[in-house]
Order: sequence, then structure tokens, then C-alpha cells
Amino acid sequence: MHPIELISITKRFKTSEKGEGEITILNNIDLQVLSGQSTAIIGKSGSGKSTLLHIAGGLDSPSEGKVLCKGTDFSSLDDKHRSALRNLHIGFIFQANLLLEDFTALENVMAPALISGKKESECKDRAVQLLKKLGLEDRMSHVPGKLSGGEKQRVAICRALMNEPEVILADEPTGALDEENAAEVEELLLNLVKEEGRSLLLVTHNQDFAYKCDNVYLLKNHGLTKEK
Amino acid sequence: MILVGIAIGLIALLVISAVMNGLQNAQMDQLKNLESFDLIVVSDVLDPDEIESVNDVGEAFRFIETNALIIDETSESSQSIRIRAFDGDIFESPRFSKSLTVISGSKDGMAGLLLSYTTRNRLGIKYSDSIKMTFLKRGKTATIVPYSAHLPVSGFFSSKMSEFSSSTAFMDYSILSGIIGTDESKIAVYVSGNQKSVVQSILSLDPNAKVITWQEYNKALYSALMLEKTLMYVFLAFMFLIICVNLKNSTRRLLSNKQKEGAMLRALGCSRRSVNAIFLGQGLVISVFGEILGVIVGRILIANLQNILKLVDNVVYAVSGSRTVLTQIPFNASIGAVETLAVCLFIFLLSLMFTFIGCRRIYKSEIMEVILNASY
Repeated sequence: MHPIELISITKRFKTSEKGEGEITILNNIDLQVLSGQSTAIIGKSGSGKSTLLHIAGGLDSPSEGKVLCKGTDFSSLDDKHRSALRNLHIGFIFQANLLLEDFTALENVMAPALISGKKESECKDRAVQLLKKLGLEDRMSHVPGKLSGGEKQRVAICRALMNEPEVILADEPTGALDEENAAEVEELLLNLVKEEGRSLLLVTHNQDFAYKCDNVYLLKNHGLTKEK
Repeated sequence: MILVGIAIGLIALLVISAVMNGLQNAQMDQLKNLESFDLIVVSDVLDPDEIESVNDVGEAFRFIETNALIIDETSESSQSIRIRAFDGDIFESPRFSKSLTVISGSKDGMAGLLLSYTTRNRLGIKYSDSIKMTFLKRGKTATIVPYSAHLPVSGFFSSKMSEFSSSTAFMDYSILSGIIGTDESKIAVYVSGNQKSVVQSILSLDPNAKVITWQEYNKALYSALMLEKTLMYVFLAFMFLIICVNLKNSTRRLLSNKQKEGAMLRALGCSRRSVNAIFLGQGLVISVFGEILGVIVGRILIANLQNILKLVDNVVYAVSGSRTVLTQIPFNASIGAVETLAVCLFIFLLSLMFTFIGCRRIYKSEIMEVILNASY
């Protein structure tokens, strides 16, 4: 059973509020995110990479087709159960790290575990451990506003790993970082796959980063072509 | 910021309501203490002692009221004036003396005429000047005939009601009743409790008595005060409206920022309902704490308003060299518990409504759109 499997995914958007016209962004896409492997999707801006990633994570629904997460079809679940499935099995990393601004780095990392219903004392140790592992031990009590771009992204990675998800979905995780920080984040993510056996589905513009992954797909003309 | 906004809105409403109440109460108190009393009783059979024995009656005084033309024989200036003559020392009454002060000369004996400072200044009268007074009294052959008397000025008073001061003088009851008789005598009553029950008790003692309440006596002014009160509520309604718009905009701005947070929480595994509950809860907490802050600061401001006005007056005086009217208008800002509760409830419901509307927007927003917007 694959951590995530996309079957015949088509996504169309309405071109106006009244729904008079539609454009197709993704057309009949099949993709399997393999266990313990990294998969990158590359493509031009506006080609639908982020949309595909969000559909894979159950953040958006396809117009046609289905997304299986650990064999469960997202569309068969109500919002509550879909959210719970996302919480337990998928970790997200976004380009705009999207941390909770009023909370400290530690509290941000703990958030997914608290949402899943774990006790604070239970999840604090793991959050501290993760932050230490990523070199953020002296930034735990800092709010996002006091962290650098690289540090924020590392906090976001810690948060994505908090519930020990099987798959990490990363949308341009190095897009907003300088070269040095970008290289650091790339290494961290690829190590997660190698050392911890997690799956990574990555959307990026960065060809070098993409080709370090086990599988590379090019999203072009609404379809997916395997490049590596 | 929303919390502070709610608090400031509430403070503004509470303080303005309290000031308006204070001004109106002060005006009504002056009226009741000097001009119309709580009740005026016209009765052929009742005397002040009988009325004072009625429950909830504080004090009662017999008095006669008439108009006269006064001419200062020294300066030869004249003025038409209302003369009030009390049987009994109303100047010792706490309520009367609260609003009227004898500032020079004497009211004792009332062998002379007690005039206001306003009248003294207008006519250029001095203490112990001889005043010629012309009354109209009932004649034997004609209905009314003029009658003149000479009285010295025995003192001067001042009151906080300029209209009253400029048109009223006091003299001895026995002298005035000796001139115009006691046919027109009435009884002034200060009520210490329920006015309605006092009226009923007086009427039960003398069914033929005529009881005039202060509201009836000052009908025109009372209507004006009621109109003023209505306008005050209209004014407050506009303030509410302004606060509503501000509250709506602030909540909208806050919840727009919260949309990103909501999308993030949903990406982390929160359901739509949970996110909605979190933001509604936050809105509720902000509203409650904003209201608590508003009520505390508002009540402190209201309690210390006179000191604050004095401070402002002193600052204005230090800067411009002239005093403001702020401290010259005597009033005690006050707001009742029911009024406070009504204002709080209104603001609370408003903020809750706008939070709810904002949360609906977050509830309906698509995570992907919000995340993509936040990314670019």
C-alpha cells in the first residue's frame, strides 16, 4: 500500500464566479508516492504543481479521480476524518513557512500533536528533541518574528515531523531561502528519506534539488511525465 | 487591538451616558430643590405638619408666591420680580440650602427683602437700600388694586439656576400674608421616597387638595428635558453605529489575518469545525476581556470625572489664561447598573456577531487558496 496514490486526477477551475467557463489544470494524472523514496515534481510556474501537491494532501479536491492515503480514499471521508487522516499521516512544508505567529517555535512544533489529542507533556519531549536535532535548541522560546528565514523553515520541518508521518509534502521548501539555507534544508529533507525511511513528495523549481530525489516528474501540458 | 477597541468604545459610551445623566439629574435636582419642589399642595384643610406626617415626606413648608414691581429708591432702577414668602425656615432645609446660598446679609427675621446677586448687580442695589414694592392685591371695590410697601434689602443670595436667581426674591411670610392675604398660600413638599404614594396619601387626607408634581409644574422644561434625553439616545445610537462600523472593520481585518492561521491549522489536521470553534472562542475571550477593561476604566473615569475636568481646566488656564466652562457646570456623572449592563450587552452582542460573520468566512475559505495567497 502506497502512502499516497493519485488515480486519474483531473482538476478544473471555473474561470468566473458564475461558472460560465472552465480551464483544466491537471488532466488524468496518475502518481504513486513510494514508501521510503523521494519524489520531485518540476514544471513551469502556473503549471499546477502546487495544486497537485494540495490534492495529494487532501487540502483540495480533484474534479475527477481519487486520492488514496494509506489506501483510504479522501473523498470517502467527511471533513473531520479527512483532517484526522492528514494529521496522522501527512506532514506539510510550505514555501511561506506558515508558522503560528503568536506561538513560540516549540509551541508551533507541538501543534500537530496537540491537534491529534496528545497531552502537552507527551509531545513536549519529542518537540524539544526535534528542535535540538535541527539545531534550534536556543530558538525554542522564540516567536517566528524573531527567527531567520532558514530557522523558520527548519521549525516548519520539525512541525511536519512531529506526528511521525509516513509522508512529507513539501511545496517549494527552499523557494524563499538563500543558497546556504536552501542547501541546509535540502540536505535535511533528503536525510529524512534516507535515515528515517519516510516518503517525500516535493514540488520545486530548483532542478538541482529535484534531481537529488529518487523520482522526478515533469508537469507539462496538464500531464505528468517521468524524467528520472 | 480589538480588545482595546471594544474597551474604548465601551468607555466612550459609558462616560457620555454618565455625563448626560449627570447634567440632567443636576438640572432636575435644582428644579426640585428651588423652583417647583417635589410637590406643591393647594389645600384649605391641610397644614405642613399634617403633610410631614405622611410616609416618604421629607419636609413641608407653607408659602405664598406673588409678583411685584420693585424699585430701588436710591438708584431708581426697577424690575418685575416673583416674591416667595415661606412660613418656617426653609433656609435650614438641606435640600433648599444645597441649591441656594445666602452670601451676604441675613435671611433671619426676613424683615427685609432677600434678593439675588444677579438682581443686585442688574439694579445696582446695595445692602440696606430701601426698596419700594408694588403689589397687586384684591380690592374691596375693584377686583385688584395696586398696593405699595417699603422694605430694606436684608441680604443677597446666589443659586445655581440663573433663571431662578434673576426672577426671584424672598421676604417674610407674615409681612406678605399681611399685604395680600393667605388665599393664595400653598405647601411646598420635599419627598424622600415614592412620589406616587405620597400624592395618594395626601389626596386621601384631603380629596379636594390640588397636588402639583414637579413634572407638571415644569411641564415645558420637563418635556424639553425628555426631548433632550431622547436626542441623547439618538446621539448615542449614532455613536453605537460608528462603533459598529469600527468593530466590523477591525474584526474583518483581524479575521483576514486569521484566515492564514486557519488554513495552516487545517493543513495540520484541524477540522473546519475545530478551527471555527477556536476563532469563535478567541472572539468571545477578546469581547469579554474588552468589556471588563472598558467597564473598569469607564467606572474609574466616571468616578473621577470632576477631578479630570479640573485638571483639564487647569491645563487650559495655564495655556490660555482663561477658564473653561467644564468646572462651572455642577453635576455628578452617574450611570446605573441596568444602563451599564445594557451598553455592555449591546457591545458584546455586536462583537460576537461580527466575529461569527468573520468565522463563517474562514469556515468557507479554501485552504489551498489561502496558502497560495500567503506564498506569493
